Amino acid sequence: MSSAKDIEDAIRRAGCEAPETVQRRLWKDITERRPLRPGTTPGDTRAAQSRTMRRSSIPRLAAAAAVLIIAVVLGWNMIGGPGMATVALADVAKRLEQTGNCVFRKTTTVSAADNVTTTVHSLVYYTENAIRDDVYDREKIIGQVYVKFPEGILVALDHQSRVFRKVDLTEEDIEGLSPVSPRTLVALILSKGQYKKLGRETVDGVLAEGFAFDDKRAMLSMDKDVIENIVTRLWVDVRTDLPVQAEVDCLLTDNTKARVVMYDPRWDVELESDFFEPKIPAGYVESGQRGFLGIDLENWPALKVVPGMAAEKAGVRSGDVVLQINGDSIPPAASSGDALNLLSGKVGEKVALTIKRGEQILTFEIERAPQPK
Amino acid sequence: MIEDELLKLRFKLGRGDALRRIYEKYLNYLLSVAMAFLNDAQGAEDVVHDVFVSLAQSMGTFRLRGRLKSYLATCVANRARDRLRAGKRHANRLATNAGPEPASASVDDRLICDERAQQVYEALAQLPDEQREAIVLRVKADMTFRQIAKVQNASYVAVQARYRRGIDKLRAILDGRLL
Repeated sequence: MSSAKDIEDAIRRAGCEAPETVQRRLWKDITERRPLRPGTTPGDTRAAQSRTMRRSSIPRLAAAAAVLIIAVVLGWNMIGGPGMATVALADVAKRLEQTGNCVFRKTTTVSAADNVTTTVHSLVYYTENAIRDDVYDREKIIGQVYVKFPEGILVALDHQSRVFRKVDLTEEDIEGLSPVSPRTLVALILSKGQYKKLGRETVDGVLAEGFAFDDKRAMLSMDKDVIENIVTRLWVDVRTDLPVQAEVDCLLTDNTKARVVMYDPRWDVELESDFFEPKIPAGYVESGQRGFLGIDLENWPALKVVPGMAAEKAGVRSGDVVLQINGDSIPPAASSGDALNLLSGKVGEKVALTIKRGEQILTFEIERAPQPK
Repeated sequence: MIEDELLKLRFKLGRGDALRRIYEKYLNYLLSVAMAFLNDAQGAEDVVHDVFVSLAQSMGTFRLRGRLKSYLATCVANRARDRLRAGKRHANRLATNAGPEPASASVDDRLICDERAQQVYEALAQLPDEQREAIVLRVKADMTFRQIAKVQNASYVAVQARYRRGIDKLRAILDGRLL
């Protein structure tokens, strides 16, 4: 009988395709309900503009004057400075310094120059002396990062590969962590850098006032010379003077793009002090000591062997199907994640793999090797 | 994805090419989500069309914190649910199999679904609406049970139960038939 996973895979794969005639027809129907701005369909641009001008009874100069007046009323300030909105931002900085712990959601998206994009969702807990960042995949915590400021240490846990890492931090590293943390935001506000007012918008149901900063100090842990362009946008609740959302958009000189968004903050949250103590589960391996077998679990339970590495040297071949690990049979419902947990270990430790190759049942003993360079 | 974040931003700034890009990127995906709900090609087109018209009307004021893909899938789910409740015809077979075609329809003017997808849509059509919705939103739209609970205005536990029961029913319906 098909498993639940088979059903889910079948649903995921079930797709349909609209032929070009259907695509064009639907698009036409959509755009005729709502005329698009010029630029959508090159052939239509001039026609759309001339239709608009014929319909408009406002002379061009009067329209331009109206835009200017509206811009002034909204306080749109292209070259701002602390003197233009000192009271509001100073109040925000004061409020942030007065708050205790906070919890917020964070989404980090990095797009490399080769178009490989990764997005990470976190729940971040922040207190004056520590940060804890729980990284989620759906509802499961797949990684955690603990930072303790007085001790200057960072501990990162990868729950998928059961590896942890400890790093000693410099003062600049500490300042640059979590670029949209309250600490960094206060520094940004008090830095007296240039900023632009973005006006008011409703953000997550809250009336907020927006500010945009292009200070490179928003990414302190990064070499400023590699930052091509950076903008930090801060949306502040007009009622409480506390941020409701902050965004950092960064373009590096190698065309890597990064975007960090902090949202849904909860201020003055009670958190126990041991909440920020890193807890390294039993069986986790420190990253430098992690051993590698040289197998890829992409097609689990079939293996893909990395050429030249320990598994291949021991005799394992791509396509071998795993039956047992260290003498224990693999349950039918075991995922590649379960397998990774069973196969992870230190350099020098051995693992026994029993596999099926065609009609043969074979067992290989493989010694984990250091990470290849 | 960063492209979606940029698309959201450009869309909010009123860039028409952003809407076009969203359309090109997500049309087939949204049609497959609508088909999973309705098992009706015409209904799926109508629902997706309405979603894009509504989206186009929000250009310039659009502000979305979450994922664009999930948001669009939720919009499709809401409209599909409305359509089902309004008692529109819920075909149990695709329009291609529903009998003689109207004179104006041509083969090139219909959605294309392979045999495996047809089996899945037909099986989903046999589930109660709430079970089908929980499954489609979870599997096709990658939503969490908590997010689905909000959409369905139900408890987290209820949504999980609907999902499990729906998957079990699908296993029974599709057993041995999946290619």
